[in-house]
Amino acid sequence: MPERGWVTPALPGTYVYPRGWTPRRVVGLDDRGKVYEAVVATTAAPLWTGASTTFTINATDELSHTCTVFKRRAERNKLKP
Amino acid sequence: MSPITAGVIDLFSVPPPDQLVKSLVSPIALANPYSGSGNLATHAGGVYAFGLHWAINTAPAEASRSARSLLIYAEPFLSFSLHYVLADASDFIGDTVLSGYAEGFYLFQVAKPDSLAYNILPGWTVHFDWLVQP
Repeated sequence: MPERGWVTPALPGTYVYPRGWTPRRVVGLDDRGKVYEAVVATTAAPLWTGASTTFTINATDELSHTCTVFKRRAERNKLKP
Repeated sequence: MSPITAGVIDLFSVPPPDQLVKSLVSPIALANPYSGSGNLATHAGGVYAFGLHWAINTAPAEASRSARSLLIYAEPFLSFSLHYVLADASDFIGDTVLSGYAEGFYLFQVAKPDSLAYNILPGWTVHFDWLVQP
């Protein structure tokens, strides 16, 4: 899934994603109107830049569905007060 | 439809709904149903549209929605922006409407837009009607 921007497994010792933050993701609609999200590695990823407009997910019907991106959601802090 | 014969002031104000009629052919013919994105001219031959009515033609079966006085979809499936051309030929976007309501109409806040750019989320098809003076 190169469109998501992931290139290689993280090396041992790499800092983990900070606790309480949710990664950036694109939001897409599949052919049935269900909303799915795909986590995107970098802002240079094809899904984020728009070079790629669809991503594929495995749904609960055990089939692959192609989702069309219609929204981008930046990484954000979900820490509770 | 005949060209507008109202006074100058009237040309810049939007008539109330009881003075308007729906049209599929004026100012430009509509090719319903619409999907995806595109542009529609909002005037032709001196006839101007004063508003746009929309109603869902088809919607995806599994789209999240709430059945209230009408269906309200969780994800706003329709967006349209009005383009205005200024005296110096600048093309500026004025009002933008974003709606998840199954039906509704929008009277242009400022009359005489030049065109309307619409975007409909994948899976939905929408029926448009112009609101014009009879």
